Formats: sequence, structure tokens, C-alpha cells
Amino acid sequence: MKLIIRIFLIIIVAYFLSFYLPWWSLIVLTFIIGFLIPGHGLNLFISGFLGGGLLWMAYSWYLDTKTQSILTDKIIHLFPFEDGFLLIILSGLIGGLSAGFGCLSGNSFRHLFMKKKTKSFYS
Amino acid sequence: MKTFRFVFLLTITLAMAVALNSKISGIPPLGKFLSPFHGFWQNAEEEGASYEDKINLKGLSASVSVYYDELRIPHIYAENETDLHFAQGYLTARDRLWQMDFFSRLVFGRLSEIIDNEAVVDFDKFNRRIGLKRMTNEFYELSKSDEELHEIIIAYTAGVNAYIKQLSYGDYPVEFKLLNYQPEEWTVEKSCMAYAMLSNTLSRGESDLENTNALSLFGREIFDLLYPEQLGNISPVIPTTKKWDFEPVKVEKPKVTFPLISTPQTIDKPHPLNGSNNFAVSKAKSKSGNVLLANEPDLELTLPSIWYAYHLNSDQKNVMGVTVPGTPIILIGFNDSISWGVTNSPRDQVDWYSIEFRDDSREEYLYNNQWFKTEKVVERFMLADGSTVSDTIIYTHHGPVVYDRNYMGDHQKVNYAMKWIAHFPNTTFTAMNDVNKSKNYQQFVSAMRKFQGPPQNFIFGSANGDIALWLPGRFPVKWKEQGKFLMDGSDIDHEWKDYIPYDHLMNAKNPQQGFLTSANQHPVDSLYPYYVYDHNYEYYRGRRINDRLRVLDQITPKDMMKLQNDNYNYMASESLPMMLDYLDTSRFTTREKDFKELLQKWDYFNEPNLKAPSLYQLWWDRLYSAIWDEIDTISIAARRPHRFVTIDLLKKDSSFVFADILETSKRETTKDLINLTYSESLDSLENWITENGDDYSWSRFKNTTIRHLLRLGPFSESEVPVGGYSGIVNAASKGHGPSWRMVVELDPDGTKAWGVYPGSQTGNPGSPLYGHMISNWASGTYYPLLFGSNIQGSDQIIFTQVLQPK
Repeated sequence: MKLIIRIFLIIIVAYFLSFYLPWWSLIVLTFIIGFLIPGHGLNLFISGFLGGGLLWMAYSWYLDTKTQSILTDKIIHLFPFEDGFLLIILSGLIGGLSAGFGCLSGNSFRHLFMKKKTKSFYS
Repeated sequence: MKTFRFVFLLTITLAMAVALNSKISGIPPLGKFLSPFHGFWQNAEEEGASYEDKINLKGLSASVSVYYDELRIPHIYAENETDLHFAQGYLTARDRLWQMDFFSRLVFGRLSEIIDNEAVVDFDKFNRRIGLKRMTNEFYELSKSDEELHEIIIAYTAGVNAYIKQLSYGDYPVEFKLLNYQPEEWTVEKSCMAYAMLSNTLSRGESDLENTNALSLFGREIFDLLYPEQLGNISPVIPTTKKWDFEPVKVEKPKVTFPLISTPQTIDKPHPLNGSNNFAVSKAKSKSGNVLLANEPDLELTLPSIWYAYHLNSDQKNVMGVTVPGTPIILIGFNDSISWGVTNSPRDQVDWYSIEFRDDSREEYLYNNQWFKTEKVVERFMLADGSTVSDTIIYTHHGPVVYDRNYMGDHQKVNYAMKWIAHFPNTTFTAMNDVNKSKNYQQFVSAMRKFQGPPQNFIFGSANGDIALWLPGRFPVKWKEQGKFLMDGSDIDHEWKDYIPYDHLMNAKNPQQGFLTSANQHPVDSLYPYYVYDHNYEYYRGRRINDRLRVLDQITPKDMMKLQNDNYNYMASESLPMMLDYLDTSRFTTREKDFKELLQKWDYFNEPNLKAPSLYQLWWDRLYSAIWDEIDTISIAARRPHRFVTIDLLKKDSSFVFADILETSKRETTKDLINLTYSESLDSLENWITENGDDYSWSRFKNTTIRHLLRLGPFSESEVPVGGYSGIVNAASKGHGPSWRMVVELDPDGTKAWGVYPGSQTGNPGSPLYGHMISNWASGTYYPLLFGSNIQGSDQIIFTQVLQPK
């Protein structure tokens, strides 16, 4: 459940923030979400990866379709590739990795403050 | 453990963020560049007009209306000049900001700040050495003395900055994102850059050092044979009927000898294919009884295009035409009373003076038996990698010492100062601003007085029936061959002393023949009482245009367009019959026979779908290189003689000494060479077919390409289906050609005009309109240009926008 909440939260908040803030605001946002909604490491990475990845992929796909791939087809040919869809996937991947690591770091930051609790567990 | 985990993850995350935010080995920062909210995705545009209805701008004094036609030309209606040019600056920046930035970096020698490449650093150094930056700064300083022009420059600059100020990364043109840098503030000096840019393209051509090399190597007789100043049949710009009834300023050739220093390597020259055509037809020869005028500048074909079109309307003027983005004044165009166009008028504007320094400190140089102080200027270049390099430029009273121990000069003797007329203070933009507002011939002529270069053939037509040609500029009175070779910078006799007075400049008005034309050929016949020289005159286009206009009558705008797109290959008509005559067909294979027939049947028109022009060109290129292999193997800088001269020599002399091929022991004759190169060219055609397919029709073979300024393939357009070639009126060669075609009918009831250029108003490769005029340009189809007093109601208008004061 937390996983889904995180994913939706990332998608919705990042979507609105991105119009005003630089691209790396995604990392800051996911850091905060990772901090606020705790969970297991892998779980957090997945929520970031899916949230950021889906958002970036879907939005670039939307822009690509809306503009009939006019620029995608040119940019991809600047690289040794042919298929413009690769750029959509790559955008998704980069959004996903950024958000995934953002969540993970945020989560591990939270763990720093839970020191006392863990100590008492051992004692 | 937890601390470690946090530090570890944070480090990875931050490292990733930094990496995705940086340009690494030429690849743009992937996070920034691929974010759909910021990166290149934001530059893709939908079909249709996506302008804002209303824009509030600080700096306007009143509302400005902007009407867009189908070509997206802004028709700007403002209450005063300041608002007009403010809006113009704003709108140009919207469509061409990156190109403007690129041009300004070129002129100021600052491209190395954004492109990490050794060759670019050298290019910047070169542009500073020849003075583009200094000229531009001085040009701006002088513009202050013309209050009206100065206010235009300030308003335009403010308009550009109003656009830049409201940009965020997502709005940057895609080239900024690819190269990973930000638009910087526009300056008043940058708004003056077109003067240096155009001078650099148009008036910097020369061959003085190559001439000196050739003279010392071949001797006088062969030099004059290979590089004659005039040959017969030249059809000059000024009709030969013109009488020169004035007393010229006297000049005596002093007893001087040119220093015969050989120069191993010379600086890059402007492309020899930069050229243009223009022509005007009188009322008597035109069907409607209105003056007709046509112009097209043939320049490097680039995307974004060198030109941007406007219709500018204020209480001071109502003018339409094109200019270079970053420049407020229309350079080629028309208003309700007149029209004008320009072609380059080649007139040696650069002379080189050999400098003798007193010692290695280079603080003094010899002049007139005395030591004079030099001026040293240290130019700094900030490189893309963050480091700085500097270059010391030494100035003498002749000009900057471009060739010295730090640049191109590999032995002590090579210290050459550049004297270039473009370095002189000038009021060229004041002249152009006056032309924009001229109502008749008198006003146009008084504007010409202020035009000091780069020398142009100005064609003029007016609604009240005048046609004229003016060749204004600053021209020194030279003795024969002064400045044709390297000169002695210490000898006072090598200096220019006077300038040709304004009243002695070349011009022609309403001639008997009923038309006037220019196409970069010799400006005048030998009767003009001043020495006129250039190393690179055009020999073909002008003759074709004059041939056609002589026979045409009842001329319509359609005929003018047809003539601009004329594909007749004059050079082929004068060389191919001779080449075919020399062929020895006795041992011909079928293939050789078939190709000969193909060429024999050809009518010399370089139409895009014909195959004969490809074969002719292949053969000619092969022949031309084989003839001048002697020149190519020389270890010092030399240039091949003009192709017109080459054909003339081949025709005159069948035992022509240069026909010999150096690599062979046999002594080849012209006949041997022509036969040999014929079979070689068939072989090379076969190779071409193996690589590119069977269809070697002219436009495919020629492959006219309109290249993006950064030479990025996907942003360029290749294999444009256009005919013509260099030396043909439709001068579309591989990378050069008609960069703006304009035809104007000066109807007293309202100017009518047509135009097209190989590009688009928008410079955004992500726009569906990017390069949208190219196909019509290629086929010679023109767009009617919307102009007149009441365009608001026209159905050609697709969008209306209001810019209003904030």
C-alpha cells in the first residue's frame, strides 16, 4: 500500500513541481518522500524508480505523440541509433534512476534518526 | 553502519545528479536534456500557430500590433520607431536566438567558450586578428553620432533582452541544450555585428600573397597569362555606353619594386562562390508599364537561414524585406515607393604590407626611414574547459599584423599588416536606414553617399519609373597593380594617397537598353579612368542575364522569376563542344560512345532531372585538376587560374604547356589530356553508381545541402531537388546558392512583391515549419508577399498578436 502511495505521490507532486523547478527537483522530492514514508530499501527504490520512471516516460511519450515525433526523430539520429522510442525509454530510465536513488537516500537518512530505537532493541 | 549506508547512498545519488547535469565527452547532460519537463522534448512544436495573443513588455511606450502571414513573417505596426525596433528585437530573438548568439560569438571571437575544439580556438584567434571584434566595437561607437540609428540599436537590443530575460532552461533553443550553455545578455555592440560579418564574407577576398608567390615563381609573362585582369567579352555591370565626363584624381606609378617574399601558407579566404544576381527592367520593357526588380544573394546555404523577413511599419517608415538576425535595419527589400537589392561588387579591398620590426621585442617598425612605435593588444580567450589562452596582436598604422611569428609566419620575414577598407570608420548602416525610408531616386542617391562598404552593386527601381545601378563604397585611387601584390610597409610610396571622389563613383541610370543588371562580374570596361582590380570576377551569370533581357520584351514578374531560376550552363556551352571535338572516337567502346552521345544531345541546361550535366561536371572537374596539377604541387600558397581563363587558354593553344601531367614521363598535349580525363571520368561515374545507385541525375549527383550551422546532419537538409550550379544564374551549388529570391513590381498603386528562401522564419529544428520553404525554393515557386497600407483585413493573415506596455 505504501508503495502505491509513494508512486502516486511522486507522480503527482513531481509533475507539478517540474514546471517550476529544475529537473533535479525530482531527486529532492523523492528524497523527502523516502524520508517521510519509510519502508524496506528495495521497496523504496522500486517506488522511486516506478514513480519517476513512469512520469518521465509517459510525459515524454505524450509530448512525442503530440508533436508527431518531429524532434525525437532528429535527436536520435545525432546518436548512433535509429528508433526514436529509445529516447522515451532512456528518459524513463533516467527519471527512474534519479527518483529511485532519491528515495533510497531519503530513507537511509531517516534511519540515522532512528538510532535510539534500534539501540534499545539490542539492549 | 547506518551512517555509512546513508553516506554511501547519498554519494551515489549526488554523483549521479552531477553526472546527469554535466556534459561529458560531447554528450549533453542527460538528466537536463532528457527531462520531458525541461529538456529537448520541450522544443518540439505542434502544427499550427502557437503564438500568444497578448504579451506584456516593460520598455514599450504604446501597443504594437503584429500580424503573421502564412510564411510567419511578422508585420509589425508600431506608433514610433523605438517601439517598432523593440518589438523587432523581441520577435527575432523568439525565432532565432541561438543563431544570433552563434553569430555574435563568431564576430567577437568567442566560439571557443562553447565548443571544446582546438580548431575553434584558432578560428577565434583568426577572427580577432583580422579585426572583426574591434571593427564592431568601433562601429557601435560611431553609430552614436547618428541619433536616429543609435536609438534604433538601443531599442532593438532592449527588445532582444526583454525576450532573453523571461527564459528558463526549458525555453532555451535546443542548440543551447545540446552544447550545454545559457543565452547571455544581448548588447548594443552585438546589434552592430552584421557589418563585420558581411564585410568578412564579401569584401575580404584577395589573392595578393598568392599573386606574389606566382610572380616570383613563374615570372611576369606566365603570371599575366594565368591571371589576366581582363579578357574580352566581359559584359560589365555598368553598360559600356556610359561616358565618364570628369577629370580623374591623378596618380603616378612610383618607381617601386614589390617585395618578393614567398608565403608558404595563407589565411582562409571567403568562399569564392559567394555572389549574387540582381536586375531591374524599365517601364518600357515591362508588360504592365511598371518597373520590375529582382535580387538574390548567393551565399552559404544554412539552417537557420542567414535571412529573416519582416514588414516594419511606424510613423517613419513602411518597409519590407530581409536582414541578418541580430540587425535592426532591412538590407534587401522595398517600400511603397522604391525597391533595392545588392550583389557583391568585387574590388580588392585588402592590401598586405610587409613589416620590418626593429628587434624581437617588436616595439618599433620601420616606416619612411624612421622607427615608429607599434601598439600591442593582448586578446584573451576563455576556453570551454575553463582555461584561458591569450594572443598578442601588433598594430601598425597600416593595420593589424595578422601574419607574424605566432600566426602563419614560420620564418622571420613573414610579418604582414592587413590594410582592409572595412576597418575604416563608416556610416554604412546610416546609409541603409536612409535607403529603407527613401521615396525616390534623389533620396536613394543621397543615401549612397553614406555607404562605405562592403562594396555592393545596388540595383534600384522606383514606382515613378526610374531604374538605376550604384556602386558606392570607399575606394583608394590606386596606381596600376597597387595592392595586387604584397607591398613594402616601410616605403611611403606603397601607400594609398587619395580616395575616388563620390562624384566619380560608378553608376548608371535609365539606360537606353531598358534594363540594368549585376552579377559580380567586372564592374566596368577599361575606359573608366581609375585602376580597378579584383582577383575573382564572375564571367558567366552576368552574360546570361544580359543575353536574356536583351531579347525579352513585355516582361512580367513571372519572367523575372524564370530568369532567376534559369539553369543555362554558359560555361558548358563554351567548353563542352571543344572537349568533344578533341575526343578520339576511333577506339571507343560502346560505353564511351553512348556517353559521348548523351553529352552531344545536351542543350546545356542544368535541369535537376538530367544526367548529362553530372557527366559534364565530372569530366570538367577532372580535366581542370589535371591541367593545374602543376599549381597544386607547389609548396607555397598558390591558386588555380579561373575556369574561364582555363577554357580560353585551352582554346587558344593546343600545345598548352600546363596540359602535361607531372606524374607521367610522357609530355601530354591538350588532346591527350582531354581523352584521358574523359575515360577517367567515366570510371569515376561508375564508382559513384556503385556507391549511390543508378540514378545520377543532376540534383542527386550535385547533392545541394542546406546545412545546420553546427553541421548536424539531422538538422540539415540534403539532396534538395534543385537545378543550376555555380556560374549559372540559378547559382545553387553543393553548399552555396540563392539565399533569398525576391521579385518586386513597383506599381504606383501599391508595391507587389514575391519572395522565397531556403529555410523558415523559425530556427527551431523542433518546429513542423523548420525549413518549410525549401521545396518551393527548389522548384522556383514564389510566395506573394503581403504588403500595403491595409493588410489588417487580408485573408493571408493567420494570426494577430498584441505587444503591450507593462
